[in-house]
Formats: sequence, structure tokens, C-alpha cells
Amino acid sequence: MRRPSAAILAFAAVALGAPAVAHHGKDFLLLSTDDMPLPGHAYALVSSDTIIDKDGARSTEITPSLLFAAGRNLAVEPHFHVAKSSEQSWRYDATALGLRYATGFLPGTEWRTAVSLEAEKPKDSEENSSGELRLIGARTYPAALVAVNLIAGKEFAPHTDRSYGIGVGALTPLKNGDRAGLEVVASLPFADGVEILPGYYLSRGPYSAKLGIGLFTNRNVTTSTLHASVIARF
Amino acid sequence: MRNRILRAAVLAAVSIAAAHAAAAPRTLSFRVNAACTCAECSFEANRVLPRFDGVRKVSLSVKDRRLDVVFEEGKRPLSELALQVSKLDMGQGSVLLWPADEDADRAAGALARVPGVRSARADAKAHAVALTFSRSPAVALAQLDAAAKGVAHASS
Repeated sequence: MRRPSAAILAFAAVALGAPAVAHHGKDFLLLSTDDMPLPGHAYALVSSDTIIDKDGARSTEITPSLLFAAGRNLAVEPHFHVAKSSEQSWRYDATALGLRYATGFLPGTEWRTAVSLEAEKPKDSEENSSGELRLIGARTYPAALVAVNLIAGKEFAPHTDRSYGIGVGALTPLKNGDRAGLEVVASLPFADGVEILPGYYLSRGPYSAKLGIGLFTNRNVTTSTLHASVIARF
Repeated sequence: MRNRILRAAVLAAVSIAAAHAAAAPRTLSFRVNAACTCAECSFEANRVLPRFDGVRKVSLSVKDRRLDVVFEEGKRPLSELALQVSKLDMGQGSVLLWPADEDADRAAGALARVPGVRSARADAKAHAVALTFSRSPAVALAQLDAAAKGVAHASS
């Protein structure tokens, strides 16, 4: 079985024994928020997700994507994946489409909610297409942006199990205007895998960049992870 | 002679109280157009505004799209604060919501005549007048207070 691509949910990758991989949203590396693209603008994103085993074996996936608004509450993100592993050179891996809908505030609170759906079709016809559903919560505090993601995923094939996960993260501003953050994504049950990702996030006008170096562990393996993303608004 | 001294003392006390009232921190509410759901919006407001002279506290309600600023007017007037808010990413097109519980239309008319007020629109739903300011002349809190007080006296 191939390593699940970045467009498949992070937890699914965890459940399959590979480290959690990235969401390509604007603020976090692994997590989604309800934030919508500015009307009339599009965002070009390039994300890179790398797993480094203890023996030094490395696999990397690069995900170029385009993010734009389709209405006030709906964001669309078509993207594709190219991947490289120790055994294989760079190859076109999969095509995917993500949709995110902002569903408003939890009654009586400042917690914002959203739902995202993502479908991915692998290039290899022997592999199954898959889908991800995320229930998203986000709240802005004076000194933190907090996000919670409940994640469910499934391969579109008979006799395949659903997998579930949860992600929690926070960004806090630094004095120089950049941000530091911590994201944790775990499969349910946790023994299937947990990724802990401290990160550094910065914005300069229409550009922003994110870098996280983390650790993934489950009952079988412990690996290092490296996630990076560059975003340009135009 | 005693009456003069008494009157002078009363006048001094009133002046000190008035000056104190003018300088007392006030919570000013700005309505912002941006959704403020990204990290940068809130963080920028909390980074930039506390550096503005007289700003004591900043809080944002994303739900209400409202930025509350506790402001003690001193060296820099209210209108400069409003212009500073409008320079924030989230603050483009922002307005100061000036409370007008009774007659927002009349209050808007009175506030619009204050030199330096660029626009004053009644917002009956918010029980307020939405104000924007020109770059000059500067507008101080006391000027808006006086204009609003005139409306209240005329109503009563």
C-alpha cells in the first residue's frame, strides 16, 4: 500500500502507519479553520510534507494548490500531489478537491464552526479514492488562535473501515509580528498514532510561510516529520 | 469676600472634575467589515493599537465584528485613533459607533456638524451613530460629547 497522500486526512495516514500529513489551509499546517479567502482574491499554496524514519529513509510529498472563495461562506481548493520516497523517484501521485463551508458561530459563544470535505483520486488505478470530513471549531483570543478538528475518513471501496481522528492547535503572536504554534493530531484510538508539531508562522504582506518540525509516534514506529508551506495572495 | 472664595473653590472643583472626566478612560466601539477569522487580524490589532498613546485595552468580538478600545484621550485625539484603526487589515472601512440611545437621526445630524467628522450615519439597530473622520481638523471626545449632549437637552 502506498503512503497516503497529503490530501487524505491526517488521521487516515496515522491509522495506516504513516505520519499525519498536512492540511493546506492558511493559518495552520495540519489543522483547518473556518477562515475564508478574501472575496476577489485567490491564494496559491505550495506545501511540502516529509517523513524521516530512524534509519534515515525519507519520503516527501509536495502539494501545489489553489484556494479561492465561491461565495461568502464557501472556499474551494483544487490541488494535486507529487511524491518521492526512498524506493521511488518523483511521481505524480493524486488529484484532489477540497471544499470548506463556514457554518457560523456556536450559539452564545465566540466559537466559530465550519465543515470541510475532501475527495482524492489516486493516479494509480489499483488504489482506492478516498474522502475526508472535518468538523472544525476555531476561536480567536487576544493572544491565541485556537482550532479543533474532528476528522473522519474513508476509502471509497467496499469493506474498508472508516477512520477517525482529532486535532487541536494554537497559534500565538510573537513580538516581531510572526507567530509560534503547536499542533497535535491524533488517531482514535491514540495508540494508532499521534503527531506533535511545533511550528513557526510568518506573514509579509500578501505572502506567508509556515514551517513545522515534529514527531510522529504510534505503537510501531517513531519518526520525524517536516512540514512547510508557502502561500501567496493575489 | 467669603462668597467669592466659596465660588472660586466650587469653580475649581468643577473644573478639576470636568478635566478628570474628560481624561477618564472610555470604551470606544468600532465596527469592522472584515470577518476577522484569520490569525493576523486579531493579533495585528493587539500588537499595533496598544502602542497608540492613550490606548489601555483592546478586545475583539469576532461574532459582533466589533473592536472595543479602552481609550484615555491625552496627547492624541479620538479622530487619530479612529484613523489608526482604519489602517489595520481588519479596520478598512471601519466606523466608530457613538452611542445614541434616544434619537439616532438627530444625533447623527448634530455629530455631522462637528468639524473633522467626515460622515455620521444613524444606526437605529445598534442605537448608535456610525462615525468616520477626516484627517484634519482633529476631533476630540469632548467635541462629540458636547454635540451629543446638545441633542439630549433639546429632546428633554
